[in-house]
Amino acid sequence: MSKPQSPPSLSVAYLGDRFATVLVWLTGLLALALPLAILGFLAVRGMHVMCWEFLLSGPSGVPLGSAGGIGPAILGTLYLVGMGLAVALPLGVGGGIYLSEFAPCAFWVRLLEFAAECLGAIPAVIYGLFGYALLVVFLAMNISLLAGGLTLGMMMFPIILIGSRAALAAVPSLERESALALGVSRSWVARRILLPRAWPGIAASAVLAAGHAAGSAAPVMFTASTVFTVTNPAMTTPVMTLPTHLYNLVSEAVSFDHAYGTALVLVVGILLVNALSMLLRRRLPEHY
Amino acid sequence: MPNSPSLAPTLEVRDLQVHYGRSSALTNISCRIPSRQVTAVMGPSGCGKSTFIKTLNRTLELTPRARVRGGSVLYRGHDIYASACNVDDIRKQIGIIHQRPVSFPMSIKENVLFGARFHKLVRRADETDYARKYLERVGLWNEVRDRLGAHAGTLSGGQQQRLCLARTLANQPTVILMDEPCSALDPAATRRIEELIIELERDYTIVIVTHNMSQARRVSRNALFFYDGRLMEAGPTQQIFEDPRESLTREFVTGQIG
Repeated sequence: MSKPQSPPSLSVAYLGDRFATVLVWLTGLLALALPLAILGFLAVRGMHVMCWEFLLSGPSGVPLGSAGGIGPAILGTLYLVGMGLAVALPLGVGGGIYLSEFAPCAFWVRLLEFAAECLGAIPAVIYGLFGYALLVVFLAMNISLLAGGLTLGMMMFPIILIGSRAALAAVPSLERESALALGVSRSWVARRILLPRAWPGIAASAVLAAGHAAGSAAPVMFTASTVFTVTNPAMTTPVMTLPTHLYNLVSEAVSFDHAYGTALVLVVGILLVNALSMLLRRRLPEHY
Repeated sequence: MPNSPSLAPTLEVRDLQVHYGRSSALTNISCRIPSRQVTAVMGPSGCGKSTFIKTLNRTLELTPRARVRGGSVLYRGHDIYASACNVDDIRKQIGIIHQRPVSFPMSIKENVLFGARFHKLVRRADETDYARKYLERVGLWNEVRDRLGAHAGTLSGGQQQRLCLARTLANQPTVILMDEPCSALDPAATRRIEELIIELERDYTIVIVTHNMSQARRVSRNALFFYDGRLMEAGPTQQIFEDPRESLTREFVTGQIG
């Protein structure tokens, strides 16, 4: 007679399975809890400075930034990101169309994708140094909106290129084939069919890149930012930005209340941008 | 070499060989496709029917790893695989309808005009009349006349297949290839497409791939029977069905293989 087996509830396999289930649940909850905790922490510490004056007026007080608001920093960030997008969006989408429709062979596609992924993985501070050396010094653009916008454009370019390529590749190949079977050119197909189909994915990657750029201090620190401005942003003058303003408030111990308020505005802005990106992705073809 | 009867061919295939990667898909195919007649391409699944018709307008090149490794396809006496041949012109002259109707993400009217605009076959002022002409040709005009601006995706499967046919006809081709055009349609829509094929035979050379032997008998005058990447028999449809020369053909038309 064989030895009786232990009931399922006590077996090692069952206990191991329960342990693994609990572990993956906990790690999953951590992914939700961490951003919520950061947002909650910033809300608790920074919410009391939040008012229209904080959002719209410039910094004031002694030391500068201990009173007043972050209006010029919000405006400067929007101008910089807008300018970066104006450069990176056409280049990134063009590169995505090339990789998806015109690249001569799979090896070439893999090589260019690898290069774009490497470009996307370069630390933001390196973009800052490169932008400073090339744009600010070599091309004599000085520290300005133009130099900072172009630096952010360089940083956004690989993100938009990779996202555009993926969105275009997600368009059903039968549509591409049916269109090309009519004897039309690939650029005609790209303009009339692929871009209308892929635009939610392209827009999502652009929004994601914009959110990433808006939150980065390093690329604009040496190329565009200043501690204080009173004029509206102009191409040839430096601008205030949210991340560099936050850096100044904390590193100079100017005002931690204002620093938390600034961080709250930045994080909520980036969350909204990411939510918009997710919404756009949901409009892609089903198999994306 | 199996050949169809000696009618003036629009297309002539000589010793065609096609590979997908390293594996052979079609071996030494030679045949003639007569002008202004319907030719059915029959055979069991995986025998190379779809591959064959895609070689006739160079859309096989759009399939990754597919290559024509030898032979030639002559359209009106000219090799369409010659380096001097313009592939866009070939695809304009020899249109193709796919198994599943593929409407583009635009309006019904824009769908019809998609290729015609590129090839400058229509002036902007005449676009609606031009679209109407081809929608009438496929019997779709009365069903869509009040919603030409509606998204093509709102049409039924059968209507979309007729829209695809109108879009191909608007390109002013001389040959129409059809890759199982009724396989995704209900019987009523299938009957409508078959009626259209018979109507269009007056003006176009048509090659239709079909699994449905009854359909092949109803719509075609000539037939090609493929088996395992080889053309086993070609001839008038009636002869293929009633007095096939090859035993494999007999087994296929009597339903013993398929």
